[in-house]
Amino acid sequence: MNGLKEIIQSNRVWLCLDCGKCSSVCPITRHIVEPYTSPRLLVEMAINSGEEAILNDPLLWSCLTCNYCTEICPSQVSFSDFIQNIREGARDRNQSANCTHSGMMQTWSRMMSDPDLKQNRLDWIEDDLQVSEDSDTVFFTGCLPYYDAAFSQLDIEGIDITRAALKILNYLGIEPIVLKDERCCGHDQYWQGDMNIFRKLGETNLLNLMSTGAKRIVTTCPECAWTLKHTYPEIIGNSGMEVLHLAELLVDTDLLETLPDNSANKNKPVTYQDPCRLGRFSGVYQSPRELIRGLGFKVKEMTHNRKSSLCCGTSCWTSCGQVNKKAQVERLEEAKSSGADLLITACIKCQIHLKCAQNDPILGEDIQINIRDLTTIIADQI
Amino acid sequence: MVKEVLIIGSSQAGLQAALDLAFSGIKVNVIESSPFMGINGEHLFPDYLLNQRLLEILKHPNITPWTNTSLQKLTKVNGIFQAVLQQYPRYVDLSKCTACGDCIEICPVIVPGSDRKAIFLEGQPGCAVIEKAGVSPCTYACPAGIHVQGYVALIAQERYQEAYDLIHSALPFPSVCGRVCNHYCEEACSRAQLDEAVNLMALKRYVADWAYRRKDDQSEDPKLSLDSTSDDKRPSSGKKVAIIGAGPAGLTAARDLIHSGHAVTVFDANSTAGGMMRVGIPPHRLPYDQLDWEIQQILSEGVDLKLNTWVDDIPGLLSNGYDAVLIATGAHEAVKIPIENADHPQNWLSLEFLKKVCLGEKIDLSGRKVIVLGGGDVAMDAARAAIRLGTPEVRLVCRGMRASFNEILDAEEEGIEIIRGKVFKKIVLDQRDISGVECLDAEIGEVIDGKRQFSELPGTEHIIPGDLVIWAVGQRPDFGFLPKNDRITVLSPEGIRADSRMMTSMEGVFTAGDVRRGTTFFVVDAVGEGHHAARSIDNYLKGKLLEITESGPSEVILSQKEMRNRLDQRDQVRFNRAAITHLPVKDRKNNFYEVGLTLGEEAALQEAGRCLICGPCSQCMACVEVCEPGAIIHNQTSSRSFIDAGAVIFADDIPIEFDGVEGYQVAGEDLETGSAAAYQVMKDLKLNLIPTIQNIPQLALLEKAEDRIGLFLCQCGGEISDIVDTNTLSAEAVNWSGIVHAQELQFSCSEDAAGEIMDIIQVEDLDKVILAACTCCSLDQICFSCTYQRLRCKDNLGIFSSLKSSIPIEFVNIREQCAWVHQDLPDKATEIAKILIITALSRLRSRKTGEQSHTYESNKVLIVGSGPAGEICKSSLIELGIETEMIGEIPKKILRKGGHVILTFESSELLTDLLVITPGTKKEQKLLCDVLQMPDGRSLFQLVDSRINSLDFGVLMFPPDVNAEISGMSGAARIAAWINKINNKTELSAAEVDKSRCRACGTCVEVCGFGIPDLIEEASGRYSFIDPKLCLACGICAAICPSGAITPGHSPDLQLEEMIKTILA
Amino acid sequence: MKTEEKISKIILFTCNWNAYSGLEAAGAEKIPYSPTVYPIRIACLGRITPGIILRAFENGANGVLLLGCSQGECQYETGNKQIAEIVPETRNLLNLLGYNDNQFQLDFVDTRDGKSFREIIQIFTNGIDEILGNQ
Repeated sequence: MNGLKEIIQSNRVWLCLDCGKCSSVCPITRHIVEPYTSPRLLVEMAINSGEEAILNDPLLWSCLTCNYCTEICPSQVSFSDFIQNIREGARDRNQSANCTHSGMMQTWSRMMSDPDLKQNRLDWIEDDLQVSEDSDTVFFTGCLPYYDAAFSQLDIEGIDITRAALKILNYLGIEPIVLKDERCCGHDQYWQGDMNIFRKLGETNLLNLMSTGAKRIVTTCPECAWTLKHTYPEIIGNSGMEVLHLAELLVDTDLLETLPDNSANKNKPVTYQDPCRLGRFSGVYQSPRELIRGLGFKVKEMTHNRKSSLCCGTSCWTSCGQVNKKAQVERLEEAKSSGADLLITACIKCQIHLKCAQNDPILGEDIQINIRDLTTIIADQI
Repeated sequence: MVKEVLIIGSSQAGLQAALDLAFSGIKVNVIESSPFMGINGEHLFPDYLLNQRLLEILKHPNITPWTNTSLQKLTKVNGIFQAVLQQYPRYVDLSKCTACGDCIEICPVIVPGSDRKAIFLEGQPGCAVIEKAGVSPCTYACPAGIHVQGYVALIAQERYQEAYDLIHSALPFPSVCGRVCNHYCEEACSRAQLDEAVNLMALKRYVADWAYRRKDDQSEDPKLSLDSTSDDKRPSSGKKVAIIGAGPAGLTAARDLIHSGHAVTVFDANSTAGGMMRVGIPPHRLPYDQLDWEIQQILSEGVDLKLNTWVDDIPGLLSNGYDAVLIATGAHEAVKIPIENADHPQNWLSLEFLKKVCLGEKIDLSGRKVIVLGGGDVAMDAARAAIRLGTPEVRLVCRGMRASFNEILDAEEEGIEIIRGKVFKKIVLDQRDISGVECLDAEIGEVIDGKRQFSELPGTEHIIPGDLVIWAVGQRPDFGFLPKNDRITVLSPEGIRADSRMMTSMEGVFTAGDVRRGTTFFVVDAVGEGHHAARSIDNYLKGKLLEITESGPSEVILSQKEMRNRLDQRDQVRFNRAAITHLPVKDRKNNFYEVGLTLGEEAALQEAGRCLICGPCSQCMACVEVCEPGAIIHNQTSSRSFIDAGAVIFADDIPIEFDGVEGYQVAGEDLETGSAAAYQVMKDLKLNLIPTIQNIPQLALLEKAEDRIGLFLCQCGGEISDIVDTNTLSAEAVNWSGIVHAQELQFSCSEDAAGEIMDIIQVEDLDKVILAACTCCSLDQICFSCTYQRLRCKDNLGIFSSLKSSIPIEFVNIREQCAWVHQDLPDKATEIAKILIITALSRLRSRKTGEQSHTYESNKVLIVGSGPAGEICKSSLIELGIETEMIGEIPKKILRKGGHVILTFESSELLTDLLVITPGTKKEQKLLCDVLQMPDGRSLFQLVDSRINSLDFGVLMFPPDVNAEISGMSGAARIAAWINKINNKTELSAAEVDKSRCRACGTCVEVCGFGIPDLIEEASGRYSFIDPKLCLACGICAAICPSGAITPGHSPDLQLEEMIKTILA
Repeated sequence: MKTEEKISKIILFTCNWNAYSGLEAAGAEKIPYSPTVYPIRIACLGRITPGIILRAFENGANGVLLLGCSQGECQYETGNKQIAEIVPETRNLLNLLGYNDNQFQLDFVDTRDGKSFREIIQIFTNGIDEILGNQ
């Protein structure tokens, strides 16, 4: 890890004004009881007390890197990147976050970092779906097939989403390439500071992607999208390919016009959860909403939306607990009180985390709302 | 008030009572007459559960098990029961036996009427036991102390070398006593009372000859004989003993004394060692090559032999560096009767004649008419020797004949004329030469005090012709060598006076054999005296004045009936003993070839098969030889104990009355009667349960830094180390991270081993220990695979008693899991052992330390249901001072949540930890079953019933059709036991919830089979609480917890990951 | 390639009850089983998670065998029900990662049944050898 100084420099940490705006929005700060912590305090610590102090602060590993603090920061301190940088260093000292699900996801990602691993990840492509060896579009499925297997209990949309995506692309006359040896994009490894695994994953992916000769990469996962588009070029290398979240691709097509009658949805109140990597990171707020409206739904915004949208509460399959649950419950209550009866999100992780939170023996109805992915909602109309 | 309880018998009901009482904190003695507990009667449990239960009993600190123990006397003196217990020997050390089974394999004896060996193992405590009614009569009768039944049993199995070694260890001259013994053993043999005694002498000779034929292979064989194996280990005492006389007594004593570490010099006036055996018994009865070999073996053990040395200065020996002297000169002086011409030179003395013969001097008697005077064995030897020296004319003249029947036949066959019933008057001369012996006929009267009476018949004078007279009418010792000053007194006409230690009137001078008795006895007697004298001399030299005689088991006397049974059991028809054959007469002429021939193998085996196995243990000592831990104690004796008890429960499968003393009777298999009796006892002893209130200290993970771990590898006496290379492992181990000390142990389940480990912990300042043996867990728990040895090992190391004081110990099973399964692949076995040990290292590192202890929030018992058992249970509980309440109404719902049982009614809710359900009718039972729900939907009944001992849950149910009286009381007993057990539970294994990581999703609540986790509201929020007093540490909740908030009691993720990595590294 | 013997390593998780006593019985009765099998004893199979199983394969295990008690015989009531639910899920993940069904199995042994313990191991290890091309 670069020295703390460089990290502070490169992430504009020294510009912090101690205004405390971040503390007022940070999902961890707002829900944590003991011990209190906040981005402001951590930044202050970094500048005054140095490395040791930060390494022991709970926020170091519980920060969701949702970027809300940066969004609101008058001095644009890029706190998420700061955290990422610090975590890289902490790793060198064998520090890491507590994994959830007894480290299942981290493990399969590590396993995928072996370039010789021969996966068997295309079984979800049924005969009615068209893919090709040679296309200008690659459909990057991400870990969806894995989540589908891992969360069979939670009844999430896993390969439903990948199938939906292919269905839509085919409908648009696109028969994309789907990599049989695609790897996890490494988003979680990067943000957890596990650069070793991240690099291995990234390199394998880049090689596979570039060997296709395609021009663009489409994915339904905002984290894959952000990582392929920004993190790879920065850390590993540039594929020279265009990277799009499916939503971005679809708004620029005539899809909506061509879709059959959607009166069934007429004015059905739905609400939309901006995934951090698609919203605040990539600034894609409009496209999903346009698509949803285009399907005939009535979008009821939650109290916090767009730039001020709330994170789904957990990141990187780590440090998930009481605080995170509170954040999720808060978000679900917002969704309920928005008057919508469907919560649409564009990220599989938002769906998993929120559905997991709904698994509560006591809160019951207050947080029960149907949750779907934008992709499958659209596919329903075809 | 005596708080101890006596339970007679170990029926299942009795054991249940024992458990209930023990858990309630009452000391219990379980008296079992057989060597194993709970094996009688029908069993309601499958073996593995019975085993688990028995080990629970053996392990429980409040229970003292008495096996092989009978209640001798039971009286009641002002309210206190006084019992006299007789504990019979097991002959195997409970603290040493490893149940390896080697002894059972090697034992040559199958107990008549059974299919098991005389040493066997068939239950708990899992240690072998020897079935020994006592010492067999043959063995008991042998003056030399040979384990006769033992060598017979070994011969029957064609294990001749062992048979020979067994004989040879007690008798240095097997070849001699296989030929010329007077075999007291055969006289004692039980078989003689059925048909004929087993031909023990012939069997002894058979193995003696067998061994002699192999003497050359044996000389390479280090296991030449039991005693010579220990040569080098023998520590020298620095004392010197002089033995005068190299006969059977002297040489036997010499060998014994050498074995006791003394230096021995043997003096003999003759030119050859062996005494009467060598210069008294002619070769046609006892060839010398074999005897000389046997003597050579003794000498080769370091005896200094000085031949042709006449010693007559005994005080000189003592003053010249000898610390003790043994006089064993025998009786070599033949006597004459003082009649006319008895000193004419043609009167020979039998012993001088025989000596010449034995030493091979040329004597030609051709043309002589020989008269041998005397009727004993010596006379017979002289006569039969004479007829082999060229003369056909030998007459043996005697008053009464004392030689054996067989020998008389042989003699007559050989042409000797035997003339009985004569009294010698004078030797008749014709000029200068003897022409005959004048005799009178004698009338033979009856025996008066041991001596046959005779009366001469006057006027019957007649002359028996002959020109050479050999006197064989008696022998006596020559005392000429004794100090003149009578410091060593002689009792004439007997021998040298000696006390019970065989010490003469002179300090430090002992005597044995014929010289002490005053005349010739048999070799085996001399050997016996040799042993005795040697023991005394050894004691004398070691300063032990009085000989300590350990009173071993006594002689077995079989009843006629028993003997017949044994014959039938082996469906053996009666048949006579195998007799030895003889050399044809024509082949005996003018030579000294041995006349008696040895048995053939077939005959020998059949003859050995005739043994009735009186022991039944034959004391062949094979088990002692093979037992690595040295657990066999053949001369163990029974012991008496006295116990005062406040109450007695008779729990034999057959109810017993003990002369009027009132105790509680429990029925063999009915566990509830057991518990009911336990309740009665609790009441009698005024049980009071004082909950020990302790807080629950936080469990800390052991520091990873600067471990000081000690590794101990059990060899299990070769069971492990013969396959797994424990030696190399212990050498390598010190390079493994954390290990600062590594060593092997011969038997880790022995007390010595435990002591050694404790010492090393101190010396090496260890903070953790790994013991690689057969024990597999360090928990205060017994699972299906547990064994007595594993319990013993853990107990010795204080695992059960003092978790606090003892440092963390991890166990690895490298016996069953390495040595035994992979015995054909030693390298693999070693490699796997290594890996398992290293995984244990990682397990040890991430192991919790500290202590948990708990107390019930409420000890109040609720009783639901209108069954009569309820009322009785209530009054019983109140009798024991336990708060109890009857609930009239049937609840809408009963379920276990958060470790409590919650009863839901229309308007109210009741919470309890202790619930007794006693439906009054089938209908009510059905109703209760419907309202009783476990989180996973199963009825609480199933849960309760699925356990033998529903104690684990504090919930009991008695169906309507039970015996209300019994069930009610048993309920009370189990509740009492449960409260005490739970309140004093110390386990390290409860699952723990990290509040900050808990999402309160309730998955743990759903998945727990016992409804132990519960969601609790706190200021910081909701989280799951797992009651450590009830958690069984299965870890299922931890596995299902999505956020990983729960750390299981055993094998947390980190630990498993470490272990996996080690294995796959 | 196929000719040379690949040494496989197999992680065997046994519960502390029926399965472990089966393992012990095999030892006590000296019934040998494949030395490629490395036992790890846990209280109950319900303790096992997909993560732990994946970790075994990540670290190079050629197979993972879970041995517990038959349905209804779980000492902790719900353990084998729990593991039975986890197994298919885990198997799907392993399939995605390119592993063969034979490399991950769940089975049960009766108390002290060393013989069938050995048989189960035998069948499993044969399956592994097939995959590794050891015949």
